[in-house]
Amino acid sequence: MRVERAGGATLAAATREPDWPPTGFSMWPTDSVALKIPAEFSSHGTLVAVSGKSQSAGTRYWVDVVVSNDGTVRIENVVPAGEKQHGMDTQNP
Amino acid sequence: MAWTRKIPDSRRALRGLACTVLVAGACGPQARAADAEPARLPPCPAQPVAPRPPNNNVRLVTGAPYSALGMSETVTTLPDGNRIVRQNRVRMWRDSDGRTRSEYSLSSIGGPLPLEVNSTVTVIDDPSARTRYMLQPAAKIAVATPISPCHVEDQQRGTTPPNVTTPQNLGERELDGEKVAGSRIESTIPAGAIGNEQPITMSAEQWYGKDLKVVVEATYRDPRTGETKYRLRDIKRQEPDAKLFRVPKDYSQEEPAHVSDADAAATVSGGGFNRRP
Repeated sequence: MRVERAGGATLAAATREPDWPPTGFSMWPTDSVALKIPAEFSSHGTLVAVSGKSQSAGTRYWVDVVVSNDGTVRIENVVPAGEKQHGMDTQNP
Repeated sequence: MAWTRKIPDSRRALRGLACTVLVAGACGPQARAADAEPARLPPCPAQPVAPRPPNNNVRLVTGAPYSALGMSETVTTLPDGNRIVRQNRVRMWRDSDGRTRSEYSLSSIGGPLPLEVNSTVTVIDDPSARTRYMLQPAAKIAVATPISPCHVEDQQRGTTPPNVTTPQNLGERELDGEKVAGSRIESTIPAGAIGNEQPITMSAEQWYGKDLKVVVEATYRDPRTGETKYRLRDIKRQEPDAKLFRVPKDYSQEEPAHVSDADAAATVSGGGFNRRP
């Protein structure tokens, strides 16, 4: 699979079908944490989290993950590292 | 919005998982967790769950201390009978004042682009200090970010998304000594919508602890990805050790790292928010 880097476009969003359970909706109060995880593609075509300080020739991505205490773990976004997200970087949302 | 903090444009040499970036508190400036009962806090905003913009609203639940281990397992069965099994867990503590500690042990996350993680992230939320700490044991760093405590009524329900059934009341039962209330929703992708020859029906069922105020059991079924079962185990309704909610003395505290650069340090985490029903 070839991964295209298109300005501002996110990989996960480009490949996403309807989420289940639906994003942003929970039947009961739930607590969540958003994580941003650096990752690279493995030779198997899957993303593998890497240490932020590790050196690699591969392209690095930021993977936005939301973990909730209702058993759901979602990948919300995959963005090439260094690219601004939705017109803003994470420094100044 | 009075509680906005600009994060300095600084970089940190972090190891392993690191954290970042919380800025705007949408709960409102009046909220003072130190002197507030949950009912007096502003309601948590009914906005979609999304890591950006980071919503650092944290639901405050007081007077219901507990500890438990939440385990989820997602099983995807392939056409040849092979199975992909993904497990993740979160160990949770909450004290009577509403401080929480969560240790997320992530191994594998499914989706269009599956992610292998194998990391543990520890998050301490201290509503009275209005601060979230993300602990990085390898570097002995606690990254502090602001949070805004807010209040959610169990019976509050947000707007049901399009194409999702109104939550069906499944009644009440008891699980591990906890009275739980159940709800179920379904959604169907019509035939042809995504190339599917037949309609695809997904379902979600959650059982919510009325005293603990957390989801105790859940089942999510989606023919495209399989079935996820979540269950809270080892529930102890005791006051946890207070030191669990403190940053260890040998940790240094930092503000979130700047992450817009590919060479910037490490994994970045942030965004504490409540998901509202």
